[in-house]
Amino acid sequence: MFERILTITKKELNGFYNSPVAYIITGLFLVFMSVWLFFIQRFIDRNAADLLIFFSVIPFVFMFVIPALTMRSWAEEKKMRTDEILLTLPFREVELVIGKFIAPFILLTAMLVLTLPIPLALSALGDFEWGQIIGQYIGVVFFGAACISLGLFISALSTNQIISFILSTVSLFFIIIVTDFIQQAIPVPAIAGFVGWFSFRTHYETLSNGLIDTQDLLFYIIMSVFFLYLNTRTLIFKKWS
Amino acid sequence: MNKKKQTLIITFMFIAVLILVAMNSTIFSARLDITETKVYTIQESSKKIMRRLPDQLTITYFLAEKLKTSNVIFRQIEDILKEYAASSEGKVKLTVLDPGSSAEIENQARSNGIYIWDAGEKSGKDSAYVFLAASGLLIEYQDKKIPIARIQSIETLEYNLTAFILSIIENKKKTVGYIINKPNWNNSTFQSVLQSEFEPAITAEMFNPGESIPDSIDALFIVGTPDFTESELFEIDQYIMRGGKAFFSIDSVFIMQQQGQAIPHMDSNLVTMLEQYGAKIPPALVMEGDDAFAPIHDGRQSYVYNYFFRTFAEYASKENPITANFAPVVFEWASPIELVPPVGVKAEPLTSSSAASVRVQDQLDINPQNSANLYQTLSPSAASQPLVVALSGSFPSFFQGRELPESKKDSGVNAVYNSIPSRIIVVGSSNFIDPATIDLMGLQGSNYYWSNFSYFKTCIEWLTNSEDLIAIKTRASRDSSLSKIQKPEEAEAAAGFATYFNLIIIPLLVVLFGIIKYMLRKKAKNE
Repeated sequence: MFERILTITKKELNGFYNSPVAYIITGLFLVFMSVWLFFIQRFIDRNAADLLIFFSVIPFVFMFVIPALTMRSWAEEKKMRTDEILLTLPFREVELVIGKFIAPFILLTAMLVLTLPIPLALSALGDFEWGQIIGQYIGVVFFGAACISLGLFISALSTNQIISFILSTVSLFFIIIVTDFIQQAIPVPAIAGFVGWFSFRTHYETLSNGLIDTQDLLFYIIMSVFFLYLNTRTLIFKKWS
Repeated sequence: MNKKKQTLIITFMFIAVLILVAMNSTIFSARLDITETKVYTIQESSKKIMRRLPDQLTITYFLAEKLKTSNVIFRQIEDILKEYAASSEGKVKLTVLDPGSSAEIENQARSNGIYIWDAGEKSGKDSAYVFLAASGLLIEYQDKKIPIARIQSIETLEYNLTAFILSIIENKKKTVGYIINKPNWNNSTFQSVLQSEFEPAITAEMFNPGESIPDSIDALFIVGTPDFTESELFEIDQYIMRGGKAFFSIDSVFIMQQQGQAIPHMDSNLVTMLEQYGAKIPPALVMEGDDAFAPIHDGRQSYVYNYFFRTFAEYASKENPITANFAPVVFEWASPIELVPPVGVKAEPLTSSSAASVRVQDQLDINPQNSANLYQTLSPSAASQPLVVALSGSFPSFFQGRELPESKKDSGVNAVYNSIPSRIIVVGSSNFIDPATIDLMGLQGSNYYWSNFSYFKTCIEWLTNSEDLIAIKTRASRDSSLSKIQKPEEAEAAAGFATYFNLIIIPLLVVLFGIIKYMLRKKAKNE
């Protein structure tokens, strides 16, 4: 099973690295993060050894970066009509989905690793709370994983990359920002709490404060598993249809 | 059952399992605090203090459920309180109530001094609704009820709570006395600062110069000029001789801002008394190099002035709990302090100026126009100088070998000439905790003032033997500024490197990697 997952992951990664998309997305992501931190937020002038402003913008950046990474995953296969070939190969649907999930996850992790020089270079200037920074990276990775699985699921529903990108962005916008507003608008605390539980950002906030809570990690794991599972079901239903 | 139906059932069952796991995750959860200062974990000293509680203590946290779901900080407050209850071995009982859930709870909160406010939220395009928001504590022990009206941060929560529990155990609230001997002192601002920062653990009581200081005062602080009569000094001296602890924030020179000059306070008894205790404040001022400037903002522009400066970690004592976990402080027109401890007194500098600082004496020119030149002239003699010193031991009385003041001679007072072991802290500047700093230095001044006040508060805790509380407090007072590199040009270079390395070099490397990969592929294709 793992070998077959690895084969799919390799195929997907090759797809990323053999096209300019991965480099453009990574480059833009890194440039934006530096511009945001050093020029928009004027980090040096703020004179505070705290990267919260850096990590707090990542959920919003992911609203665009992750759809760009996942949009081609299934939509491209459908467009090229290679999805039918893929489904007839001796792979189980779950293997295809996990393989397709791991590739953008590796790419996203690589992008995040490339931001590590920021705290490392800044550590010469001030005493950073490294526990908090580690928590923030753990939070971003788990957050990203859940967003990728959502993006993949939407890509599996679409036939067009652009539609997939737009739908994923809108869905992430909803789950990152709109849930907070809905939660605020509900006067009944129990219902507000229930809606709030689905907010990707609330769980991310705890992690980014340097507190690793199993509740928050489990939330992202559940969300990832949930959307990956829906993705496999989509493939199965597609097979029947 | 056909395969399609079977798959649908499995799908729904899988989703049901996920929901169950999600529901359980909120019930059975574990947390790992990975912050270096363990912000979300209560300290061992707090746990020990709680276990010493002779009777059960009840904490009621009035928290609006809607606040809890809208801001993670309220959940963290609740978690810290839960940890108090869990680690108290049954001595602390925690109840969380939402004032918005019933009129009865709302009345209970209001009547106990919990701050309740109307928080408005938009619920639609043209509609909004209001809910009752509250995040306050009511601490009950035996017949005592102490409210903490509003909590919105976790930084000082443990400190305030443990300080309160400690005061219950010791069955006595600490009382600090203070004497202000400074013209134009804004006492109403200072009193409100004292109240907000010291309550509920410490009560502050003001004394006039010459007033007798009772032994019930746990520590005394004296701020201002050293102009005290012998009779006024007698009361302070005898308080210390009886084991009283004192903090002196004293000017040895008189600042004449308009004239751009400072002149020494002549024949000051208080300066002589402090010298006898072990801390000599010479009629001089410290000037710092440009690494240590505390920029002043006059409302229009920022400028630097060598007499206003900040301190650095490497010039703070690592041995004393006050400065062990360094927090920077700011000085304005501060005098250096020389350590001249008599036999039986231990003297230690707590905070010193940097090795680039110079001492200005004789001609005390404080004109901002001349300060840079004056510093340059004196810079060959630059050396680190103590600015805050701690003395501990048995102090000799100022009146040893002197005649008692006339007013005390006939009153039948039995003077004590050698103190029982005590502690004294001396700062060579009355501006150290002067609220005027806030006005003098604009927005920056406000930040400076609070860091100085926090340092001062830690000094008072050390004087009143509350080391357990210092351990809790100092963990939060980390130097979080970008001031690791002291030389401005080096700091600027490091900031420039961090900015442009991450903005240009790293993305460029990514693009370069892509181009190389593309060329290699192209080459392989051609072959």
